[in-house]
Amino acid sequence: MNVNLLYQNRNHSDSEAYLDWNEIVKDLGLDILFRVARKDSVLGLGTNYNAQREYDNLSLIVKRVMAVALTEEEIAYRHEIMKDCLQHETFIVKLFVICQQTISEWEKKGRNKKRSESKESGGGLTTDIEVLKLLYDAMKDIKQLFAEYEEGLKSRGLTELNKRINEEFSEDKAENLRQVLDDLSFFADTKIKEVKRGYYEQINPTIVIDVGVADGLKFTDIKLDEFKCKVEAYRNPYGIMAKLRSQISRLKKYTIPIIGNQPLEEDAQKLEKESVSFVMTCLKNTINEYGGFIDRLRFETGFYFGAINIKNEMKRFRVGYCFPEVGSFTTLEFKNLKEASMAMSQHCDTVGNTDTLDGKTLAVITGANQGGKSTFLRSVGLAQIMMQCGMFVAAEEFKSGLFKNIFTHFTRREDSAMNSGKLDEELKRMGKIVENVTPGSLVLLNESFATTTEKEGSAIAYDIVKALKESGIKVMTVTHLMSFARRMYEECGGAESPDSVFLSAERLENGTRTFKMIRHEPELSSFGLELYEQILQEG
Amino acid sequence: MFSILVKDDEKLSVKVPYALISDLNIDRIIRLVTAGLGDDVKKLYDLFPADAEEAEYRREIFADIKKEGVAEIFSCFQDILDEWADCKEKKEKFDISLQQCVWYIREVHAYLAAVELLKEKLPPMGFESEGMKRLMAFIDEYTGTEEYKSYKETVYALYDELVGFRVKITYTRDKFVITEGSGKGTYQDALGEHFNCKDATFRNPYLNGVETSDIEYETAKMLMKKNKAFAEWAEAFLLNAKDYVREEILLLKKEVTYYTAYYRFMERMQKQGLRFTAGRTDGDKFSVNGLYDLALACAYSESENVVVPNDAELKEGESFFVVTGPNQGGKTTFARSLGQLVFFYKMGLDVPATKATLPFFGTLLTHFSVEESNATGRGKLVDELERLKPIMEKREHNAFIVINELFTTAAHLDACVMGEKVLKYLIGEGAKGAYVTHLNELSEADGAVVSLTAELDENLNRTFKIARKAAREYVGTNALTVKYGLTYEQIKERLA
Repeated sequence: MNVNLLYQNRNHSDSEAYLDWNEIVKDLGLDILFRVARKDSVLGLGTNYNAQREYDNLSLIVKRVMAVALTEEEIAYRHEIMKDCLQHETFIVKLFVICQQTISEWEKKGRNKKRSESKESGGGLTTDIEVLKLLYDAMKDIKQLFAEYEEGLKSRGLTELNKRINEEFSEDKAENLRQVLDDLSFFADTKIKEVKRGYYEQINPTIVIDVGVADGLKFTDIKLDEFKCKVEAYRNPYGIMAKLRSQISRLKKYTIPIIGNQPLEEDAQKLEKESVSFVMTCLKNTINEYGGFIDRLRFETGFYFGAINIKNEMKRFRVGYCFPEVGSFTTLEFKNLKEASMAMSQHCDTVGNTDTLDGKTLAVITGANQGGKSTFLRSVGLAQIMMQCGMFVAAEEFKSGLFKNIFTHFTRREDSAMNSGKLDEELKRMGKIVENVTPGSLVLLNESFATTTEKEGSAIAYDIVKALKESGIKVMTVTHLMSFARRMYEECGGAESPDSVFLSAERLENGTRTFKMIRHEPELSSFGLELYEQILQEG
Repeated sequence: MFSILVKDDEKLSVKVPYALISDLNIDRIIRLVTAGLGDDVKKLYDLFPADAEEAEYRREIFADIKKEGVAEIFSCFQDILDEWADCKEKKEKFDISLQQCVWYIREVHAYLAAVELLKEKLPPMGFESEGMKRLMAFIDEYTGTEEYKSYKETVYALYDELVGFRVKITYTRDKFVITEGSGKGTYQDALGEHFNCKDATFRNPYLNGVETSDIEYETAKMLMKKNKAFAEWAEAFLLNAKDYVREEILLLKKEVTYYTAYYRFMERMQKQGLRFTAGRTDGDKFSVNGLYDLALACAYSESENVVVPNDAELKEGESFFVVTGPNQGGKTTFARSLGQLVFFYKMGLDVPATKATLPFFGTLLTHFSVEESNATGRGKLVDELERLKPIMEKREHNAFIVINELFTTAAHLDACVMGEKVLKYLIGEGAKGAYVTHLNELSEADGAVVSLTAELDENLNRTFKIARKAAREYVGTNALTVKYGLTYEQIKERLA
């Protein structure tokens, strides 16, 4: 049974992830988002340590789902579901919890353990029966939960899923499954119970098989004719009457009493076990189907649950959200766009940016150190990634194109240690990007090629950025390489450039940084010296 | 005795030298060809056919095996004979008893079923090879006798009755009840219908060994009491047992794997886009297209890498390829693929290429450089010369020789002189082959030499293409941006 809460008619596939997903995660600081995703903000179950651990996998789920870019249509499909989920937060969370608890229970019963091949112990089978029961109960609960919220669900994804569950786990199917569980009950419960003094009860099976004998008189080509059990009452199973009954049965033709005959007792046990094993084999598809369904449902609802947690955390730090609009390759409009992961990691409100960069395929961002350039670049990258996985975006309004692939090339803290061969490392990473980049991609560069001289770095940056831009790739770069920035500015037509925009971190006359990006010609100083003096003086 | 591997058993097959198998990575290919089939099958590829005629005998049979449905018939034939062996083994575990009778009936029936399968299925296949025609003639002659026919009739009648018996066992906690006749399998059917599992099989709960369990014994006792006539008939049949097996059938079972295993292997490889061709001989002509290293292609089949196919031709008066070019550029791979071409052609099997015309080479020899031998304590050069000696002494006129990197430890000039001597000598003896070397000078050593080079593209990347070109020097570049393909021109070109 398909879940289809992520896509209308297929499953999520990790193989479609952004080529450089791990780099993107590092550069855009997405880890904080994944951490927040597992913070249960709805039911408050997260206060319990064990319960909290159950949600750990939310981080991974969100990370995996965010790694894949969607088409416009797919985004619209997820938006519908996301809106349903935001409206009925408890619904989606409860759905996730049912799946999560079922699976962890299943895992405790040794889901992923290899069964020993030994046929001697029936323990594996008893567990299998318990698992079947577990899945049966989970399916019933899921169906019930959908019934409760049916009225409120509007999205195609959730309403179709409800329909599918009602078909694939129809009353008939549920009843058939329950019947088999009943038929199997003798196996798990073999004890003779004394229901009241002198009166006993036991669940007894009746198994009828039909066999051939062509394999050297051993049973072959076996068919199961009947398989059922019923609760039988005795006066005293060890008493005289029971023994007598057994002796009388011997008188009938071809009737072989078992009690007291050890080899036959063993044969009987083996037959019971093999019958149960056969029935369980027949149910393997069913277990796999429901099990797989619950697995996928946990995964897919996990994404929405994680998103809700992210939204609630954003709200805590006054970061608003909107559902973004899809534009063309060159569209980029945003209002009060914030860098959500910084807000969440530093527990503070951040400055929002507002601008319209339509028609631009190159943005060069220069300006004061500590002025918010990298933060701005990250906020765009983050919004783009969130948008492309069908999430909301941390802005009041956001409109942008969709990019088949996104690449980030950030100078890392560890890069600034002046090891020899750093340029080599940087160029190697860049080389990998160029190898994989295709027209229609977005490339975000942050302080790239700062590990060499300004002259050499500028020449390299110029070559690369120019070639990428001319090849139909959108480039946004934060840079201190002023000769590079100036050269691009002059070549692209300056402030009036039709396809390029030059931004700078705003710095007021008195040196105050507003952390806002403004249109500005690249200036030769980035006021690092000023900062240097300031810090030294303070120190 | 009739064989589908050897046409004339007076001629002796030739052992394939071990060094050749490992130098050309043939061992890796054969390992994949025979995966899961056992060492006996591997051994079938250890012998070259005696001569061109013998190789042709196999090539024709292989052409027939490749016809649609033929390999399936033979694998079915083998399966039935496996069952025959299994029943035979089980029968031998018992002394005279009803159980032994039952296994004996099964055993003889399986053997006859295998023969009957060939009799029925082979004629419509339209075989053209001499070997397959001989096989069909043999089957006809064998199954045509009155003795065979009446024996078959008895066995089939016994078998039909045996498999017709059905018994119903009803188990409740305290007793078993046994009744003759068939039930309906109703619960099983209901499960199948409700839970989509029609092909589940109910395993025998008493599978420990061939002995019957108590309940099975009781069941058989009841059954035979009711069917006395059958029990007596079966016992008489066992007591009058006779030698019914023809050795030709067992040999066929073994030998046909030589073809079917390779054919299955080809099918697997073809699914991954590799091509094979039968190859043919046209006088002395040597010309091959789309030739590739099959062992490398197998290794790549798990990854995204693909092998680069190459063409090669020896024109009138040419007899040796000298392959030069950059390291890791595909020289050795190319030389190996030539060796594999000759190997599989000699074996009468399809070769890894799209088109191949080549003579039948009486001998295939290889000389690959090895790590310095510590065991002998000699230097590498001495070692190499020692190993070269037998190749030079063989004085084969119809040999194909693959040489890889000779004299790498000798001084440049010495190496050139020695290499040239070796080449001239072999060419003089009428041998053909390939010589992979770093010494560009060797590509002009003799008029019969064809110079091939491993090609680089304009960015100095390896292409693994081998082209007919004079040897040339390559100079590497070190500039970092060029190295990572990051100049303006390089990026533009990549993204164009």
